[in-house]
Amino acid sequence: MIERIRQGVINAFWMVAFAVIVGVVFNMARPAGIPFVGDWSPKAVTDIHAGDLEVIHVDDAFDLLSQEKALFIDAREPGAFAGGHIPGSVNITPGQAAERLGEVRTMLETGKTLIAYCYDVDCPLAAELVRRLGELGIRNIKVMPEGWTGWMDRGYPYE
Amino acid sequence: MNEQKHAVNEFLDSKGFQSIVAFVRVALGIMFVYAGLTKIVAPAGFALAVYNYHILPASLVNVTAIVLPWVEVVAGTCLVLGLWIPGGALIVSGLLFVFTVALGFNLSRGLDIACGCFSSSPTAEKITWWYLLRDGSLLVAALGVLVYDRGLFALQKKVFGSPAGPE
Repeated sequence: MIERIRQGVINAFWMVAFAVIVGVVFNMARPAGIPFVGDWSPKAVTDIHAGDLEVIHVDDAFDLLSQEKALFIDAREPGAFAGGHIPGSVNITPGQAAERLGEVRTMLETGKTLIAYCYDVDCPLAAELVRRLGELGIRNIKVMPEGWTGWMDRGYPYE
Repeated sequence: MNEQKHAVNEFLDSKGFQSIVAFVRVALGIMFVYAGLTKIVAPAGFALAVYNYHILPASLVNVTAIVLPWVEVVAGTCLVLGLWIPGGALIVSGLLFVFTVALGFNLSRGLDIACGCFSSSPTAEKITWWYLLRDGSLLVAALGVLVYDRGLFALQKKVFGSPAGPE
């Protein structure tokens, strides 16, 4: 038993070493290779999620809300939404994009800026929702990358 | 007492029990090869999944995403073929242990993230307690292979003429 585990450790060492070499070489050779040290700053993560979309900074979103020129769509799960959300926001998850298209259209007709958000910079749900709505022909919805966490960190109002 | 021990050993070495162990070994291996390949196909997506776990420092995220899938594929292939079985089983056990701890840690702090288990997509497969149970069961299976596999249906002897590990 002990001998078997000792044998396993030796085998495993060489197998991992082999995998590391293959992985590194393969990554350098392939076109889809990624940098060995990545940029995981909030801006870079935002670009990953919403690089192809229009984003709005949380402070600008708050200004618009203060002037009653913004409507918010909360893309988080219903449970999170029920626990608190930006005043007046409507809860639409990415999966509901198609069935609630009518509601989104009505919101757009108010002429206000539509802003989607989810948890925080790392959350992909808002961008996912806006992308799906875009595929259904609805444009002009902005993403607020800072999300619910960024909103609360600044002490902005919620309900 | 000795008689009982003898009976247990006889059972552990029996063709029936060893067939089950070999089946578990091959199934685990296939699972790991598949899991590794889905990540190798989309390295940027898997890097994001690793980042989202918020366990590793940002500087180690990409290296992990580059190397980890290959460790899975190499260890999985060895289990399927029956080469260096103790090594493959040890790696798979170690990975499953790390995955289980990482999952449990993030579930307990309520992080809503993608599993990154069999896919690199950030929106599919949210982590749940079910995944923790799954990883825990697989860990038990992998430890079973590590301890009990005697190399039935394994290539090791045929290729190298020596057993995969001490018999």
